[in-house]
Amino acid sequence: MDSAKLIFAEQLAGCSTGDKVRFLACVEEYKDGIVVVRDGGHRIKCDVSAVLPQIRVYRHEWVHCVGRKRADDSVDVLLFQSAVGMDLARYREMVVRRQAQDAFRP
Amino acid sequence: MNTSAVNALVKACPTLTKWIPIFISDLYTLVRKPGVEEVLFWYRLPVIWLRIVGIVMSVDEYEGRTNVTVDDASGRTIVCCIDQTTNIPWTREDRSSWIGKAFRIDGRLQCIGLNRRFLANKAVELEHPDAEWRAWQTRVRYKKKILDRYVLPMFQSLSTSTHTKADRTPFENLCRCLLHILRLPEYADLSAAFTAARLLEFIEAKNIQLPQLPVFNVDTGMTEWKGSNNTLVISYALDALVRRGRLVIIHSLAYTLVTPAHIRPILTPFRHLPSFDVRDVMEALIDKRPSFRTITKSALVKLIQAILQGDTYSWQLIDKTRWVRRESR
Repeated sequence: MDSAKLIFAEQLAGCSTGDKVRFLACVEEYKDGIVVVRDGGHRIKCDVSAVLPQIRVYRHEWVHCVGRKRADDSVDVLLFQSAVGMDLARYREMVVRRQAQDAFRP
Repeated sequence: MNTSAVNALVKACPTLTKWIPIFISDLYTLVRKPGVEEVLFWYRLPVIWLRIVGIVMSVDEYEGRTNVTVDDASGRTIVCCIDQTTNIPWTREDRSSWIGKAFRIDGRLQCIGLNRRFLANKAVELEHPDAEWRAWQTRVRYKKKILDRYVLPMFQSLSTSTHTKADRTPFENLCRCLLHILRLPEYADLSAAFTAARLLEFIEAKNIQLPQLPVFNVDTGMTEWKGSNNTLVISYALDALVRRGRLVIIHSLAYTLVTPAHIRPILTPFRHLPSFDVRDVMEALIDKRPSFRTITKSALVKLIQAILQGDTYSWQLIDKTRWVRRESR
């Protein structure tokens, strides 16, 4: 099984189609199995139809999304976990540090 | 072994008796030495007991054990084998509910051939929302501590007498030294594209002394040994590394290190063929990334060999340029 790439929402465009990605974002709206999440000025459409029976979607809730990127820059969600109560600033700082450390992996 | 010998061993190798916080991708860099079964080596430090943190992606049940695939978004996943005798409080109904949750799993790594499996002793769910990123912070800091305390000092005081081989020229030693520095995780903070001046700034900030080079003084007619901590010498060394295919120039004065991560996406379509040639891979690479046109065939062969070592199939290299697939591992 391949590993997910830890990214910010704005970095999704730089990933290839089919890449497994993981990012944190806030739920903006939900309709017909498509959740629109937002992080800053970047919106991503997430197709949660595969995991719909296991999740609950609340507007303005921060969530961890793990899924595969499609050609149209939307994401096929594999995991959709609530991140309520998390220190978002520290989390972002850790993602930056992890990306820096992973950059030159031999 | 008597108590004092054990104490001496534990003092010399503090990593042997501790739970080592580690990312899953680093589990695949642990090295096994022939004749030493239980102990693995991480940056040459002996380790046995490991602690990973990640999200459970799948649960597979077998007779007597359960295999759990864990992912911490570090680039690799690992299969954790939970034996029925392990002290993990779970029931048959609970297992499928693990999927999507973050766990801290303690255990040790088992290497069978080219496969790696994590034998879990204990698994604890990380229920607090901040627990996962805090675990990442522990691992990032620990790895930095290991590198600063044990690995970087190897480069702190380099001289031709202690860290270089007699059969290599001083310039070759300098090139190798720069290559080691570029592979350090600390260097990743700077950027994927660096200039000679930026590299020199990093070297001076870390107080690394590069090997000395013989310099002919035209006034005195004598050869003097001088330190190579200057931009011009480093530029020459970087250009030499470009000629050897270890670096590429991406724009005007900026270099980037060639790593398997650059080659892997190009190589993926070729791995499904029964055989392929390095020239085809090189053509595809230059097509996608024109700045890699300076890479040499020998450097590309080495990188491809490193990538294929972890492949599902067994590959044989013929005539140093062609790979033929044998069978599944």
